[in-house]
Amino acid sequence: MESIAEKQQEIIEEFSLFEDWMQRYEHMIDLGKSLPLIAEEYKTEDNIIKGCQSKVWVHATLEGDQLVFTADSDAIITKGIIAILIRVFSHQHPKAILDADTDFIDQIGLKEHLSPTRANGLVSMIKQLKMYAVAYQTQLN
Amino acid sequence: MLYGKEALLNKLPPYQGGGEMIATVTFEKTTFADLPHKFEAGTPNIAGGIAFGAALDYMNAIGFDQIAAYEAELLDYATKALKQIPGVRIYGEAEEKTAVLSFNVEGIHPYDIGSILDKMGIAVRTGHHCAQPIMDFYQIPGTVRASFSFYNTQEEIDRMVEALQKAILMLQ
Repeated sequence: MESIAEKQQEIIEEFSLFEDWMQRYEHMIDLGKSLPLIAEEYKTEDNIIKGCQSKVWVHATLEGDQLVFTADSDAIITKGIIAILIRVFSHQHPKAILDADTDFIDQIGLKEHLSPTRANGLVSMIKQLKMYAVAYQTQLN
Repeated sequence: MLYGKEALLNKLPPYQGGGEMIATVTFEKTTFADLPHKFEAGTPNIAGGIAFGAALDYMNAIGFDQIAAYEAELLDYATKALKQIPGVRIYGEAEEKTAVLSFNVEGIHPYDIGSILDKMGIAVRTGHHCAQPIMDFYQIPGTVRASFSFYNTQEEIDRMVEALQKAILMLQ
Protein backbone atom coordinates (compact mmCIF):
# COMPACT_ATOMS: atom_id res chain seq x y z
CA MET A 1 0.00 0.00 0.00
CA GLU A 2 1.28 3.41 -0.92
CA SER A 3 1.77 5.90 1.87
CA ILE A 4 -0.08 9.22 2.05
CA ALA A 5 3.10 11.06 1.07
CA GLU A 6 3.54 8.85 -2.00
CA LYS A 7 0.00 9.42 -3.12
CA GLN A 8 0.36 13.15 -2.63
CA GLN A 9 3.54 13.13 -4.73
CA GLU A 10 1.69 11.23 -7.43
CA ILE A 11 -1.04 13.86 -7.53
CA ILE A 12 1.47 16.71 -7.62
CA GLU A 13 3.14 15.09 -10.65
CA GLU A 14 -0.19 14.44 -12.29
CA PHE A 15 -1.29 18.06 -11.99
CA SER A 16 2.04 19.36 -13.25
CA LEU A 17 1.44 17.61 -16.57
CA PHE A 18 -1.31 20.03 -17.49
CA GLU A 19 -0.60 23.31 -19.15
CA ASP A 20 -3.46 25.41 -17.88
CA TRP A 21 -6.19 25.46 -15.33
CA MET A 22 -8.92 24.56 -17.78
CA GLN A 23 -7.18 21.23 -18.32
CA ARG A 24 -6.72 20.80 -14.58
CA TYR A 25 -10.41 21.43 -14.09
CA GLU A 26 -11.19 18.80 -16.72
CA HIS A 27 -8.92 16.41 -14.86
CA MET A 28 -10.70 17.15 -11.59
CA ILE A 29 -14.04 16.49 -13.25
CA ASP A 30 -12.68 13.12 -14.47
CA LEU A 31 -11.41 12.30 -10.99
CA GLY A 32 -14.86 13.10 -9.64
CA LYS A 33 -16.28 10.37 -11.83
CA SER A 34 -14.06 7.78 -10.16
CA LEU A 35 -15.07 8.81 -6.65
CA PRO A 36 -16.01 5.85 -4.44
CA LEU A 37 -19.66 6.73 -3.93
CA ILE A 38 -21.29 6.89 -0.55
CA ALA A 39 -24.26 4.55 -0.06
CA GLU A 40 -27.60 6.36 -0.35
CA GLU A 41 -28.48 5.47 3.26
CA TYR A 42 -25.52 7.53 4.50
CA LYS A 43 -26.52 10.65 2.56
CA THR A 44 -27.94 12.17 5.71
CA GLU A 45 -27.88 15.66 7.18
CA ASP A 46 -25.30 14.45 9.72
CA ASN A 47 -22.88 13.43 7.00
CA ILE A 48 -23.05 16.73 5.12
CA ILE A 49 -19.91 18.79 5.39
CA LYS A 50 -20.68 22.29 6.55
CA GLY A 51 -19.17 25.24 4.78
CA CYS A 52 -19.57 24.12 1.19
CA GLN A 53 -21.88 25.96 -1.26
CA SER A 54 -22.66 22.64 -2.86
CA LYS A 55 -23.63 19.60 -0.83
CA VAL A 56 -20.89 17.15 0.12
CA TRP A 57 -21.51 13.95 2.03
CA VAL A 58 -18.69 11.87 3.50
CA HIS A 59 -18.84 8.55 5.26
CA ALA A 60 -16.05 6.55 6.89
CA THR A 61 -15.77 2.91 7.89
CA LEU A 62 -13.00 0.91 9.43
CA GLU A 63 -11.62 -2.05 7.49
CA GLY A 64 -9.15 -3.80 9.74
CA ASP A 65 -7.09 -0.93 11.07
CA GLN A 66 -7.61 1.19 7.97
CA LEU A 67 -10.09 3.97 7.44
CA VAL A 68 -12.04 3.83 4.19
CA PHE A 69 -13.93 6.86 2.92
CA THR A 70 -16.83 7.18 0.52
CA ALA A 71 -18.44 10.44 -0.55
CA ASP A 72 -20.66 12.25 -3.00
CA SER A 73 -21.59 15.78 -4.01
CA ASP A 74 -24.30 17.40 -6.10
CA ALA A 75 -21.65 19.45 -7.92
CA ILE A 76 -19.14 17.77 -10.16
CA ILE A 77 -16.08 19.94 -9.44
CA THR A 78 -16.65 19.47 -5.73
CA LYS A 79 -16.81 15.76 -6.42
CA GLY A 80 -13.39 16.04 -8.01
CA ILE A 81 -11.98 17.83 -4.99
CA ILE A 82 -13.26 15.28 -2.49
CA ALA A 83 -12.09 12.50 -4.83
CA ILE A 84 -8.54 13.87 -4.66
CA LEU A 85 -8.70 13.97 -0.86
CA ILE A 86 -10.14 10.48 -0.63
CA ARG A 87 -7.50 9.11 -2.97
CA VAL A 88 -4.89 10.44 -0.56
CA PHE A 89 -6.48 9.59 2.75
CA SER A 90 -8.59 6.47 2.17
CA HIS A 91 -7.20 3.02 3.08
CA GLN A 92 -4.85 4.47 5.66
CA HIS A 93 -4.44 4.04 9.38
CA PRO A 94 -6.24 6.81 11.30
CA LYS A 95 -2.95 7.82 12.89
CA ALA A 96 -1.33 8.27 9.48
CA ILE A 97 -4.25 10.47 8.44
CA LEU A 98 -3.91 12.57 11.56
CA ASP A 99 -0.14 12.96 11.14
CA ALA A 100 -0.33 13.82 7.44
CA ASP A 101 0.21 17.36 6.29
CA THR A 102 -1.75 18.75 3.36
CA ASP A 103 0.97 20.79 1.67
CA PHE A 104 0.28 19.01 -1.60
CA ILE A 105 -2.85 21.13 -2.02
CA ASP A 106 -0.73 24.28 -2.05
CA GLN A 107 1.79 22.60 -4.29
CA ILE A 108 -0.76 21.83 -6.98
CA GLY A 109 -2.10 25.36 -6.57
CA LEU A 110 -5.61 24.11 -5.98
CA LYS A 111 -6.56 26.68 -3.39
CA GLU A 112 -5.70 29.73 -5.48
CA HIS A 113 -7.69 28.40 -8.38
CA LEU A 114 -10.82 27.73 -6.43
CA SER A 115 -13.31 30.43 -5.52
CA PRO A 116 -13.05 31.55 -1.87
CA THR A 117 -16.23 29.59 -1.07
CA ARG A 118 -14.80 26.41 -2.55
CA ALA A 119 -11.42 26.95 -0.92
CA ASN A 120 -13.22 27.21 2.43
CA GLY A 121 -15.15 24.08 1.56
CA LEU A 122 -11.86 22.29 0.85
CA VAL A 123 -10.59 23.21 4.31
CA SER A 124 -13.83 21.92 5.84
CA MET A 125 -13.48 18.64 3.93
CA ILE A 126 -9.94 18.06 5.23
CA LYS A 127 -11.09 18.91 8.73
CA GLN A 128 -13.94 16.43 8.45
CA LEU A 129 -11.68 13.60 7.21
CA LYS A 130 -9.34 14.27 10.12
CA MET A 131 -12.30 14.32 12.52
CA TYR A 132 -13.21 10.83 11.36
CA ALA A 133 -9.61 9.79 11.92
CA VAL A 134 -9.72 11.16 15.47
CA ALA A 135 -12.95 9.26 16.18
CA TYR A 136 -11.69 5.94 14.82
CA GLN A 137 -8.24 6.35 16.35
CA THR A 138 -9.93 6.44 19.75
CA GLN A 139 -11.93 3.36 18.83
CA LEU A 140 -8.78 1.46 17.81
CA ASN A 141 -7.10 2.30 21.09
CA MET B 1 -30.60 57.97 -1.06
CA LEU B 2 -31.74 58.14 2.56
CA TYR B 3 -33.55 61.11 4.09
CA GLY B 4 -35.19 61.72 7.44
CA LYS B 5 -37.51 64.33 8.97
CA GLU B 6 -35.60 67.07 10.75
CA ALA B 7 -37.64 66.95 13.97
CA LEU B 8 -37.10 63.20 14.28
CA LEU B 9 -33.43 63.37 13.38
CA ASN B 10 -33.00 65.99 16.13
CA LYS B 11 -34.45 63.56 18.65
CA LEU B 12 -32.36 60.64 17.45
CA PRO B 13 -29.10 60.09 19.38
CA PRO B 14 -25.88 59.71 17.33
CA TYR B 15 -25.02 56.11 16.46
CA GLN B 16 -21.27 56.58 16.68
CA GLY B 17 -18.70 59.08 17.92
CA GLY B 18 -15.89 60.78 16.03
CA GLY B 19 -14.54 64.08 14.74
CA GLU B 20 -16.95 66.96 13.99
CA MET B 21 -20.01 65.46 15.64
CA ILE B 22 -19.54 67.18 19.02
CA ALA B 23 -20.60 70.71 20.08
CA THR B 24 -19.39 70.90 23.70
CA VAL B 25 -18.08 68.32 26.11
CA THR B 26 -17.79 68.77 29.89
CA PHE B 27 -17.83 66.25 32.73
CA GLU B 28 -21.44 67.22 33.34
CA LYS B 29 -22.86 67.22 29.88
CA THR B 30 -22.19 66.58 26.21
CA THR B 31 -24.01 68.33 23.42
CA PHE B 32 -23.81 67.28 19.82
CA ALA B 33 -23.31 69.26 16.67
CA ASP B 34 -26.30 70.29 14.54
CA LEU B 35 -27.66 68.18 11.75
CA PRO B 36 -26.32 66.59 9.68
CA HIS B 37 -22.93 66.68 11.46
CA LYS B 38 -24.29 64.80 14.47
CA PHE B 39 -24.55 61.70 12.28
CA GLU B 40 -21.36 62.23 10.33
CA ALA B 41 -18.61 61.26 12.72
CA GLY B 42 -15.07 61.41 11.42
CA THR B 43 -13.90 62.16 7.91
CA PRO B 44 -16.88 61.94 5.61
CA ASN B 45 -16.75 59.88 2.43
CA ILE B 46 -15.66 62.90 0.38
CA ALA B 47 -14.27 60.95 -2.56
CA GLY B 48 -17.46 58.87 -2.63
CA GLY B 49 -19.63 62.00 -2.67
CA ILE B 50 -17.70 63.56 -5.54
CA ALA B 51 -17.69 60.28 -7.47
CA PHE B 52 -21.43 59.89 -6.95
CA GLY B 53 -22.00 63.33 -8.47
CA ALA B 54 -19.76 62.48 -11.41
CA ALA B 55 -21.55 59.17 -11.90
CA LEU B 56 -24.95 60.89 -11.94
CA ASP B 57 -23.69 63.49 -14.44
CA TYR B 58 -22.40 60.67 -16.62
CA MET B 59 -25.68 58.78 -16.53
CA ASN B 60 -27.74 61.92 -17.11
CA ALA B 61 -25.61 62.71 -20.14
CA ILE B 62 -26.54 59.33 -21.63
CA GLY B 63 -30.14 59.53 -20.44
CA PHE B 64 -31.95 57.10 -18.15
CA ASP B 65 -34.55 56.22 -20.81
CA GLN B 66 -31.79 55.44 -23.23
CA ILE B 67 -30.05 53.26 -20.65
CA ALA B 68 -33.26 51.38 -19.82
CA ALA B 69 -34.02 50.76 -23.50
CA TYR B 70 -30.51 49.52 -24.23
CA GLU B 71 -30.46 47.21 -21.20
CA ALA B 72 -33.84 45.78 -22.24
CA GLU B 73 -32.37 45.12 -25.67
CA LEU B 74 -29.37 43.31 -24.16
CA LEU B 75 -31.65 41.23 -21.95
CA ASP B 76 -33.81 40.27 -24.89
CA TYR B 77 -30.76 39.37 -26.97
CA ALA B 78 -29.29 37.23 -24.17
CA THR B 79 -32.62 35.55 -23.38
CA LYS B 80 -33.09 34.52 -27.01
CA ALA B 81 -29.50 33.28 -27.25
CA LEU B 82 -29.74 31.18 -24.08
CA LYS B 83 -33.00 29.63 -25.21
CA GLN B 84 -31.17 28.18 -28.20
CA ILE B 85 -29.02 26.07 -25.87
CA PRO B 86 -30.57 22.68 -25.08
CA GLY B 87 -31.23 22.06 -21.39
CA VAL B 88 -31.21 25.72 -20.35
CA ARG B 89 -34.03 26.83 -18.12
CA ILE B 90 -34.56 30.52 -17.43
CA TYR B 91 -36.09 31.60 -14.12
CA GLY B 92 -38.21 34.74 -14.23
CA GLU B 93 -39.46 36.17 -17.48
CA ALA B 94 -41.68 39.03 -16.35
CA GLU B 95 -42.15 41.64 -19.02
CA GLU B 96 -40.76 44.60 -17.13
CA LYS B 97 -37.89 42.61 -15.64
CA THR B 98 -34.62 44.40 -14.99
CA ALA B 99 -31.60 43.22 -17.00
CA VAL B 100 -30.75 40.10 -15.00
CA LEU B 101 -30.90 36.58 -16.33
CA SER B 102 -31.16 33.69 -13.87
CA PHE B 103 -30.80 30.24 -15.36
CA ASN B 104 -29.73 26.65 -14.87
CA VAL B 105 -28.63 23.89 -17.19
CA GLU B 106 -30.29 20.53 -16.71
CA GLY B 107 -28.21 18.12 -14.69
CA ILE B 108 -25.43 20.59 -13.89
CA HIS B 109 -24.87 22.38 -10.59
CA PRO B 110 -24.93 26.16 -11.03
CA TYR B 111 -21.72 26.50 -9.05
CA ASP B 112 -19.88 24.25 -11.50
CA ILE B 113 -21.00 26.41 -14.40
CA GLY B 114 -19.95 29.55 -12.56
CA SER B 115 -16.50 28.11 -11.84
CA ILE B 116 -15.82 27.17 -15.45
CA LEU B 117 -17.20 30.46 -16.81
CA ASP B 118 -14.93 32.26 -14.37
CA LYS B 119 -11.91 30.40 -15.74
CA MET B 120 -12.91 31.64 -19.20
CA GLY B 121 -13.11 35.23 -18.02
CA ILE B 122 -16.90 35.47 -17.80
CA ALA B 123 -18.17 36.97 -14.57
CA VAL B 124 -21.56 35.72 -13.38
CA ARG B 125 -23.04 35.17 -9.96
CA THR B 126 -24.10 31.79 -8.65
CA GLY B 127 -25.96 30.67 -5.57
CA HIS B 128 -29.32 31.39 -4.05
CA HIS B 129 -28.98 35.17 -4.41
CA CYS B 130 -30.29 35.69 -0.87
CA ALA B 131 -33.61 34.20 -2.02
CA GLN B 132 -33.59 30.72 -0.51
CA PRO B 133 -37.39 30.33 -0.29
CA ILE B 134 -37.77 30.64 -4.05
CA MET B 135 -34.90 28.20 -4.62
CA ASP B 136 -36.77 25.75 -2.36
CA PHE B 137 -39.91 26.41 -4.37
CA TYR B 138 -38.15 25.44 -7.59
CA GLN B 139 -36.23 22.69 -5.73
CA ILE B 140 -32.89 23.85 -7.01
CA PRO B 141 -29.65 24.54 -5.13
CA GLY B 142 -29.32 27.94 -6.82
CA THR B 143 -29.02 29.52 -10.22
CA VAL B 144 -26.41 31.08 -12.44
CA ARG B 145 -27.16 34.76 -12.88
CA ALA B 146 -25.79 37.08 -15.52
CA SER B 147 -26.59 40.77 -15.24
CA PHE B 148 -26.27 43.32 -17.98
CA SER B 149 -25.62 47.00 -17.74
CA PHE B 150 -25.45 49.78 -20.30
CA TYR B 151 -21.69 49.34 -20.64
CA ASN B 152 -22.09 45.73 -21.79
CA THR B 153 -22.32 44.75 -25.44
CA GLN B 154 -23.98 42.10 -27.57
CA GLU B 155 -20.53 40.81 -28.43
CA GLU B 156 -19.93 40.12 -24.74
CA ILE B 157 -23.17 38.16 -24.61
CA ASP B 158 -21.99 36.14 -27.61
CA ARG B 159 -18.80 35.35 -25.72
CA MET B 160 -20.77 34.34 -22.65
CA VAL B 161 -22.96 32.01 -24.69
CA GLU B 162 -19.91 30.48 -26.35
CA ALA B 163 -18.22 29.96 -22.98
CA LEU B 164 -21.41 28.48 -21.55
CA GLN B 165 -21.56 25.95 -24.37
CA LYS B 166 -17.96 24.92 -23.65
CA ALA B 167 -18.72 24.66 -19.94
CA ILE B 168 -21.72 22.42 -20.65
CA LEU B 169 -19.56 20.14 -22.80
CA MET B 170 -17.03 19.86 -19.99
CA LEU B 171 -19.54 19.26 -17.25
CA GLN B 172 -22.06 16.97 -18.83
